[in-house]
Amino acid sequence: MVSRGGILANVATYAAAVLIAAFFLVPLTWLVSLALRTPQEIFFGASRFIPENPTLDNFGQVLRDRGFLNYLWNALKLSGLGALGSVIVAAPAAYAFSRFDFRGRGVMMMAILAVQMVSGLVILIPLYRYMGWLGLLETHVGVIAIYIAIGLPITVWLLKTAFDGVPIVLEEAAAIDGYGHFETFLRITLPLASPGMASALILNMILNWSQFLVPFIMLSRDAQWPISVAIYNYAGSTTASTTHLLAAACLITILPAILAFLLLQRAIVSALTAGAIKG
Amino acid sequence: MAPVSLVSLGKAFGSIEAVRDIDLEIADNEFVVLVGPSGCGKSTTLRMIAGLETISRGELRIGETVVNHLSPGERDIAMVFQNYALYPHMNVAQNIAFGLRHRNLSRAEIKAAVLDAARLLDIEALLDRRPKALSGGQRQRVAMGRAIVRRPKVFLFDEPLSNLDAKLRAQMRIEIKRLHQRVPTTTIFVTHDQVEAMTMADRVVVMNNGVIEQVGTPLDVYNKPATRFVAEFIGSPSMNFFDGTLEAQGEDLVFRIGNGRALPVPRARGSAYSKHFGKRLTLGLRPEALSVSDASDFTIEVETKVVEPLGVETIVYFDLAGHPASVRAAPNRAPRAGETVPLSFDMTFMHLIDPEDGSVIPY
Ligand SMILES: Nc1ncnc2c1ncn2[C@@H]1O[C@H](COP(=O)(O)OP(=O)(O)O)[C@@H](O)[C@H]1O
Ligand SMILES: [Mg+2]
Repeated sequence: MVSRGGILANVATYAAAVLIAAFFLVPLTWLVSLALRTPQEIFFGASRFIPENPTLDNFGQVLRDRGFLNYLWNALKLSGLGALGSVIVAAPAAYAFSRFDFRGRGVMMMAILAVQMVSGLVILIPLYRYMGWLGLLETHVGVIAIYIAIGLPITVWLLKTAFDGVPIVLEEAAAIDGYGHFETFLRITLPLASPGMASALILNMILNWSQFLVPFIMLSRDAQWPISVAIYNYAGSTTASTTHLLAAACLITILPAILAFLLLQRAIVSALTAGAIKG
Repeated sequence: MAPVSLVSLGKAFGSIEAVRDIDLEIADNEFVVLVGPSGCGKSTTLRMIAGLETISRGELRIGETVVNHLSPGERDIAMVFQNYALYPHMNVAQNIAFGLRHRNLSRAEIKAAVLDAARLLDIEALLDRRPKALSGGQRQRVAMGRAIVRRPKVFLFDEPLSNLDAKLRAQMRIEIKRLHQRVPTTTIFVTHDQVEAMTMADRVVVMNNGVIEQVGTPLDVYNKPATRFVAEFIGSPSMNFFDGTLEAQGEDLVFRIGNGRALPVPRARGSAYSKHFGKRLTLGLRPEALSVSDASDFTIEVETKVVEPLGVETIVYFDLAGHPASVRAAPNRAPRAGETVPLSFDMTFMHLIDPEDGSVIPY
C-alpha cells in the first residue's frame, strides 16, 4: 500500500533521476554519435544525430597513434602509482584508527574528512611553488606525490572501514599462536581486508584518471602528459576535420573508468556506505 | 603441562575494577572451570592468563615463571574462543598449522603434527575445507585442533560450547573431557553454565562480581556451598530459601519460618548453630531435600502451582510462607497443578545463611 504522498514522492524521485541521467547521458550520446561518423558527416552537426554510415575507423586510427597510446600509458601510470601510494600511506593510519582507542580519535577522523572538502583549486598556487622548491615540477614523481596526498583522506576512511570488518579476535588468536603485531597485520588483517583495500585502490585510480588540473599545471612537456591533459590541448587546436577523432579519443579515455566502476560498483558502494549503517 | 598460580590477581578498566583479589593454585594437568553469571569477570581473568589483557595487580605464574609481562606467544598457552576465531582465509590444515610455523619444524614434521591432531579430533576429512564450509560443531573441533597441535602448557577455553545446540553441547562436553584424559594438560575452562562446570571440572571456581566466591570439587560446591550466591547458582532447579528465626524449643532447635511453622533442626547442628539463636536467618534446602509425601512425622501442606515433567523426574513448584519453592518428585507419583499435597522435609541437608553477609554458617 502506497499513500498518495508516497506516489508523489516516487514520481518526484524518478523525475529527478531522469533529469540527472539526461544531464550526463546527452553529452555522452553526442560523443558516441560524433565518434561513429565519417569526416563528411561531421558537417551535418546535430541535424543527423544517428550517422548514416556509422564507422569504427576513428577508433582504429586513434589506437594506432603512438602519441595517443603514450598519453594513455602516462595516465595509467600516474593514476595507478598514485592510488597504490595512497593505499600504502593510508593503511597504517587507518589501522590505528580502527584498532587503537586513543583520545581525540573521532575528532581526528573528522579533521581528515575536512581536508577532503578543501578544493584542489585553493591550494594550487602554493602547491605549485612548493613543488618547484622541491624540484618536482615537470616530473611524474611530483604528480604522483600530489595524487597520493589528495587521495589520502578518503582512503583512510575507506581502509578504516575495511579494517573494522576484520574481527579483533582473529588478531588475538594469532597473538596466541605466537605472532607479533606486524606479522599478524601482514598475515591476518591485510588479507582479510583486501576486498576493501582493492575497492579503495580502484576508486583512487578512477579519481586520479579523471584528474586534470594537477597534471595540467605540473607538466608542460607533451611526452609526459596523461590523456586528460592531451585531449584538452587537442580540443583547443581542433578543427572540424579532426572532431570525429577527438570524440573517439574521448570515448576511449572514459571507457576504462566507466568499466572499472560498473564492474566494481557493488564493492565500491558497499565500501563507501559500510560505516554509514553500523554507525 | 604446568601448574598455574594466580596471586592476588586484579584487573581495572579505568576506574572500574572488573576483577579483584583472585587467588588460585591450579595443579599440573588439572581441569578447572571458572563459572559465574555474565559480567562477573571470568573472561577478563582468562584473558589475563592468556596475555590478551594486561594485569593490573598481582602475579601470574605458569610453571615456575612469572609471566605477567610476557606476550601471549611467549606463555606457551593455547586458547579456544567462543566464536572459534578460525582464520577464514585459510583451510583447516593451515589453520591448525598456523601456530607451528614459529617452531623451526620441517614441513614433514608440521604435516605429521597436523594429521595427528586431526585424527585425534576426527576431522581428517575436513583438512582441505575453509571454515565457511564447516558446521558449528566442526568449527569447534578445528579450533580445538589448533589448540592441541602445539601441545601447550595450558589450555584456555572461553565459553566454547555456548554457540552449539543442546545436543551437540552435551556431546562436545564429553569429548573435551576425553581429550583431556588422552592428552593430560592443565586446562582452564570458562562457562556461565553450571551444568558444564559440574560435569567437566576437577575443581569448580565460582565467581561473582569480580571475586571468587568458592573453590572446590563439583560435589563440594554442591553439597557445601560457602555462600548464598553459590548455593543459589549451582544446582537446577535452584535451592529453596525461607527466611525465619532459629529458636530453642526445650532440648531441641527449630527454625521458624514466616507462616509460624517450626521446622526441626538436627541435633548434630546444635553446637555449630549455638551462637545464632534468636537471629533472623535464611534456611536453604535443595529441592531433593523435600518430598511430596506424608511419611515423616513432620509435614506441611502446600498447594502446587506448576508441574514440570522432565521424564526421569517431575519438578513441582509451589509457594511456602511467601517464598517460591520447588521439589523433585517421582514421575509416577507427581501431583497435578493446583492440588494440595503434604511435604516432608529432610533437614539433615539444611543450610543456614546469615542474610547480612550472605555466608553459609559452617557446621
Ligand atoms: N575492555 C573493557 N573495558 C571496560 N570494561 C570491561 C572491558 N572488558 C570487560 N569489562 C567489564 O568487566 C566486567 C567483567 O567482564 P567479563 O570478564 O567479560 O565478564 P564475563 O566473561 O564473566 O561475562 C564486566 O562488567 C565488563 O563490562
Ligand atoms: Mg565472557
